[in-house]
Amino acid sequence: MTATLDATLDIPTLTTIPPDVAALQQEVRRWCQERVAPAVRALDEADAADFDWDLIQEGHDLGLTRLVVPKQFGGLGYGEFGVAIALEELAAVDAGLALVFGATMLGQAPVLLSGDPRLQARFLPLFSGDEVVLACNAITEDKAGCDLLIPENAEYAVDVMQARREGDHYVLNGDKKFITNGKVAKYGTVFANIEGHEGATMLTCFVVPLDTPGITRGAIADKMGYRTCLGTELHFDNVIVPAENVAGGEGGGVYINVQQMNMARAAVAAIATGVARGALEQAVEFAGERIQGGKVLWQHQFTARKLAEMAAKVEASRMLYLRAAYMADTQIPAPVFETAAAKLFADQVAIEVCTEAMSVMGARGYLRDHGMEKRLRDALGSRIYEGTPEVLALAITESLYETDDF
Amino acid sequence: MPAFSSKEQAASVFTTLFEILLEDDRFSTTVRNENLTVLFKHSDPDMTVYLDADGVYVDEVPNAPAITIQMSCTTADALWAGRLLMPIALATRKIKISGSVAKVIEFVPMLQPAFDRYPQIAADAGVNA
Amino acid sequence: MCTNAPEDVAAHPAAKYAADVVSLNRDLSFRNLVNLAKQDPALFTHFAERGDGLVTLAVPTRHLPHRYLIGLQGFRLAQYLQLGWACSDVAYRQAIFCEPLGVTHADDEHIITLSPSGRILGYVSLATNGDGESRDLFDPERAAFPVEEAHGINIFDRVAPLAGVGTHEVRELKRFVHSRTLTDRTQRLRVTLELLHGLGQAVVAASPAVRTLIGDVEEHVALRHLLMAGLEVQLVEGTAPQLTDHDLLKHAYTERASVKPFVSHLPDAGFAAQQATMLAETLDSPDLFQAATDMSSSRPGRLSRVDGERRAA
Repeated sequence: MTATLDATLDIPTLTTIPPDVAALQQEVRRWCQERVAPAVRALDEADAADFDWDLIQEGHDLGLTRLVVPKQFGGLGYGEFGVAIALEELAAVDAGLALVFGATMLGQAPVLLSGDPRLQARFLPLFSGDEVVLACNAITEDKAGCDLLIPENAEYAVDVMQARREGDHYVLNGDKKFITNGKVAKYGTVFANIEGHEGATMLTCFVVPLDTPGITRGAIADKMGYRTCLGTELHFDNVIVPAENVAGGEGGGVYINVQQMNMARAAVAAIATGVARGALEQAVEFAGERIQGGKVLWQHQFTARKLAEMAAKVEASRMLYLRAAYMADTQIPAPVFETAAAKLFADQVAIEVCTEAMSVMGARGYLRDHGMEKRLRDALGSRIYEGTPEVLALAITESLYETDDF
Repeated sequence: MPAFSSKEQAASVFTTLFEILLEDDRFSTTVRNENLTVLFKHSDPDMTVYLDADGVYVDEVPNAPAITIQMSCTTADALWAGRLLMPIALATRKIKISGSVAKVIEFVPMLQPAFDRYPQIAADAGVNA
Repeated sequence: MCTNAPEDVAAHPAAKYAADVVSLNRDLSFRNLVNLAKQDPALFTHFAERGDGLVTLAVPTRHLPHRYLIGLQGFRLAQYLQLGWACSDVAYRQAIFCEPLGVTHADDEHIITLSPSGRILGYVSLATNGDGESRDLFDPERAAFPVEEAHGINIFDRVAPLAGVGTHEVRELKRFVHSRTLTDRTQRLRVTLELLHGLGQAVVAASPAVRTLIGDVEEHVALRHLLMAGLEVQLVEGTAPQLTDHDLLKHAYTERASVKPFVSHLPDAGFAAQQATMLAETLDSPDLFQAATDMSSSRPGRLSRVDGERRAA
């Protein structure tokens, strides 16, 4: 695209949500209100290593672990549009819970994107049984984060996890950090560089069952927010992975990453939007009940102004992620500009709206009892994964100057 | 250097390839049941190859395609021959696909019989000779 | 090459793939099927919850959520791969992880015995031929039953049908399989009896009434289950399976001792109900093996053989 934006918007689903997506939205909303909301505080205050399997099992029963798995493998076959709407509902109540299921989908994406029918047949039906199964996507390392996500940075990546080909298998050695679901996943899509190649220039994606000998699930990060999900270290010590577990071919890892990331950013923007929406709803409720100066808070102009701007931002954030998700569902490669812009905006909105919502609630906004401070902690976390503001800015700016090949 | 020496050669190879694909029971059943229509828009040489349950059409598009795949003929040759993997082709924008991504994700793995047969078809037609 | 032997797994990609498919299906459990049956019993033809936490249920395809159908088809394939009756080469080439769903029809009954954790321990199906309306058994336009397709015959050319019976009164018994994890003899017998009981209940519930059962069996294996259930079995000799090299289940006919089609006409409308009652009583007995022996003795099945020649019209 060029610096002049295309004003054509042919996106019917922004005004009409397809019936199956609407049904999913309602079902997730109902579950969140009935089962998740009462547990949110306990989930947030639990030990960093605690994981509520019962609640996650309920989410699995609803289908949240197989939203993007094609129906031929027992999944629900939703696209990014349906996923994003479901994740907004989850995040409006608990962002960490949304990320448990979001991270599972990130672990399914490379398998889907590989186009390898046997790889898909061996892993995707895992989610179709009644016992909950989770996945993870293992990219980040101690010294390599963005360098594994930006193709142009690949040669500069340092100490990247290594993969060595030996006959009909690879041997993996290295460590991954901050891997959501790493502690609880059945398998992970693990990115390692083929030995003998510089940096991450031959980054390759491996689908690795996490009970493979040589894998240790390490320390769990004690996070400021998103505490329902677990971020773990994964250690690989001479781990043998069959050659048929490569997704996207040797060296295809960065490309799998890019495609997956551009698709996922719409859904991640939905999580941040959900955090903002949850804060807005809570502030609206508070300002509709709290009486000062003889009238409810929202009738005071200054508070009304705050609520209005918060509402407008949440709505705008939603429109951006819906558009990005729709485009991700209708073109490959997934759009870069729209998804990055949606996430950049949503991340900012989440922090701004949570901050203002806290202000509307006064002292109560600052107390743990009322849950608003938790929302702000979650909002600060949304900026970190699937692209920080700095990475997103690069992606957006580059796309302003790129010319389409087609 | 272009893989194909002429539009006729490219048309012949791709027609043969997709007709073989339609003989695969699993592929043809899915295409028919899902009412799948696929349009390959090739460049260098410029041509279209349209595929549905009823057959393969060159430079003719009987119905609106559910999936459109754009790539040069040389890229197509590299892809079908296995020298260029689909994820890399997409990420480097050598291929662009429009239409339902869910249908594409379901469609691509079913192309395996075409990948298996293409090298022989191409060799017989003198592609890259 | 089709091979599932452990020593071959490392050497052959198809064997490795098959081993992965087996492992995948072994990991899957379906305990919510039991909850579904309790919440909506009208959808299920049969439900039995007895000692040891085993649950046996029968459900038609049209009432089975899609992912459970995939699960059942996956279980079937996994057992057949382990038995060497499904071709790992075909499964590998076509990336098959469950038996194709297209072979099931809306009114096919699936009889399943589940462990307390929801793992499938045994399975058998009562299949229709998929005809929308009941057709004469000699109607050239009628759909073939799977056994007829496999052997390339109209089975009723070999064994005379009962008068007035059309395709909707015929059912085929298919895929009588136990999980390979069932090593305990008593548990295995219990699962067998539960499946037969569920099968009987499915026959009782069918409308129009089932008059004839068909299928194919290996003489020294599944045939004894049919005889134990008191059926009068006419075994058709001299047929030759017609499967091709591309058929997933070709080895079911080449790796076993001769597999023969059979026809079993049910003597009367009450037969299936009587046998189902006897099976239930047997299952409630403290000594399962003795009770099963007693049941077989009280109304033993009978076997007769029919030569392979077509009957005169």
